[in-house]
This record gives sequence, structure tokens and C-alpha cells, in this order.
Amino acid sequence: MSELTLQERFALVSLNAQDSLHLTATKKAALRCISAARILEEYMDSLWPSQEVLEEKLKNAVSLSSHELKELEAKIKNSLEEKQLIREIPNLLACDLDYVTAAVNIFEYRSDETEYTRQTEGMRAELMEEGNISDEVICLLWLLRESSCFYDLFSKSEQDYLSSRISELYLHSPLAKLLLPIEVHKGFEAFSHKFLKKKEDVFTTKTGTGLLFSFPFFERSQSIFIEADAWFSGDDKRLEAVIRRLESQQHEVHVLRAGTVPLLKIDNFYYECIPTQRAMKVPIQGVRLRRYVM
Amino acid sequence: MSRQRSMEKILTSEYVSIGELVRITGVRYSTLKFYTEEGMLPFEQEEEKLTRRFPREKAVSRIEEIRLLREQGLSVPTIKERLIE
Repeated sequence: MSELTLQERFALVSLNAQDSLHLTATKKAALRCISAARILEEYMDSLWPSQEVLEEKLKNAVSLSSHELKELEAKIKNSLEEKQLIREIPNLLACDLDYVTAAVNIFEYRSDETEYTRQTEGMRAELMEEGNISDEVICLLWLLRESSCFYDLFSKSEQDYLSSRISELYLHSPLAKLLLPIEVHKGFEAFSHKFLKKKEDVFTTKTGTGLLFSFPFFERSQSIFIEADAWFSGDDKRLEAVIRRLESQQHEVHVLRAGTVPLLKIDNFYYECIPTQRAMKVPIQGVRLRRYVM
Repeated sequence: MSRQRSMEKILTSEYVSIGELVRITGVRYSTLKFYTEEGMLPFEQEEEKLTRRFPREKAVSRIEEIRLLREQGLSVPTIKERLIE
């Protein structure tokens, strides 16, 4: 159990499940805030400046070019990798027929599960319980809000409760009064994050997963097609082909239910394997992994 | 301004908050809150509105005990009965 810096704590939370190869809009927002975390960390051990000075310093910290963002990403990734707190794993979409045949690799960051739980749940406990909120959690709350990760971490009901808790904070915490009114996020990056979150929410409902089965292009990452080895292969052979493909891409697979429509647990998410075929020049039989909503 | 206690300090304290208990055990906040409300975790609270504080050693060993019983396949009501016995 090591002590992490504020920058490492925020990076561990915000980089989890982000595309590790490309500089996406959501990752840019996270990296900008990782850079701002360093400024906050410096002041936590000394006296806080006036709001104008702090705002200027934070705005300077987040105004980074793509090249600088990549450098920062490499630096923070190395620091977390050294502590064995982050690794890169292949994205499930890379198992899809289209991606396999085009030899396209997609990787994403996966934070160490225990440390991720420790950080996020520790913060949740402090925010949701009555009592004092520490400076670290106020800073993390601000970073999460500015990077839009706040909406991924807290449920709708928690967000409602937290809005009243934040109003309380304004009255009782000098740091919250100083920091929370400052906004440094980029409009487009925040909009992209909120839009993608909304889209994910829609396509993980029962109606959404059904719709996605017919129109996979709406959210490719939630509807993966894996081809069978041969036409009219039986349930067992089809499942074998799916497991082989998933394991070849280093995914952890557990079969929870066999049969015509097996239920699989892949990297802690549930998917149904629905036999189907794709009409191309020649029809291809296989299964489509459909997110299973418990 | 109030800072979080370092892990070193938490691990030598007699009492810890629920947030600190999450940090040292890695168990979810919602799980600990549930155990507390079910009376499975020992805690102290001077007045109704005051924050709960947990005796660190007792709470950590109780969480470990519950985890082992859950691994044996016991349900929460059965574990609760056993702990009361």
C-alpha cells in the first residue's frame, strides 16, 4: 500500500479505460487535468495564492499542445507502471471480424482494480458521509469535474446529493471557495465526454442493447461480431471459436451459461453470444457479443 | 484547510473514519456502509449527527472474517447470525 501523489491518484482514476494509442478528446481532457494536478499539489504543501493567481496558473497548466500532452502521458504512464498500478490491455473491439482482418489493434489502459477501488471508494466515502472533507478530496473533486470524469464515477442520485454537499462546502471550506469557482475545461472536450457517456448509457439499457444488435454501427464497442470456424457449426464449436479469439487477445473469459445463447463474463462485463450471420459478398456465420444488462 | 492523514498514521491510529477504512481494506464504501447499518461492524458515535468512527483493529479483522465467510458461500443473514453468536 503506497502513498500516491495527487497527480498519480487522479491519473489512476481518469486514465482507466481510455484509449492508450490515440489522443482522443476525452483523454486530452484527462491529461490537461493531470497537468493541473501538479500545480494543486505544490500549493497543498504551502500557502494557497489568491483566486486570480491560482486561476492563471491552472489555465497555463492545461494549455498544452498535443505533443506536450503525449509527453505528459508517457511520463505519468511510466510512473504508474513502475508501481504496477496501470497496464495496457487490448480493447474488446479488436476481436471483431472487421478489426481482426484489417489487423487493427486497439489498446486501452486498465488501472489496478484494488487501488482503483481504494481511491474511488475512499473519495466516495468522504464525500457521501457527514463530516469534514479533506483538501485532497476537494482537489480531486475539482479535477474530476473539469475533466468530466465526475459523471462516470457518480450515479445520478449521488450527483444530486453531491450538489447540496458542494453548496455546503462553499460555506465551510476556504479551499472549496477558492478552487471550485475556477473553470479551465475546453468546451469541445467536455461536450465530447458528456455525449459519449450519454450514448453509452442509452446503449446499455435493455432497449438500447436490442437496438444495437440490429444497428451495431451506433456503438461498435458494445456489439462485437466474431465469426465461426465453419458453416452450421454446433453450439459447442461456435463457443470454442469465440473463447479462442477472446483469449488470443488476452481477455479474461468465464462461461456462465452454455447452450445456444451462452452468457460470458469478459473482463468483468457480461455479454450474451447471439448466433447470427453477416451478409457480405458471402454470408458469414458467427456470433455477436451483446452487452447483457443484469 | 484539512489534509488527509497519511497511510502510516492511519495504520497506527486507534480509530479510523469510514473513508480511511475503505483505504486500508480496499472494500467498497457501499459494502462497508451496509455492514455498518446491519450491525456487523463495530463503531462508535457520540451523538446521532456526529461522524461514526471505527476501532481500526477490530473493524479490519471483522471485515476479513466476513470476507472469508462469504468465500465459503455463506449468505449475509447467516454471517450476521454467526457474528452475533
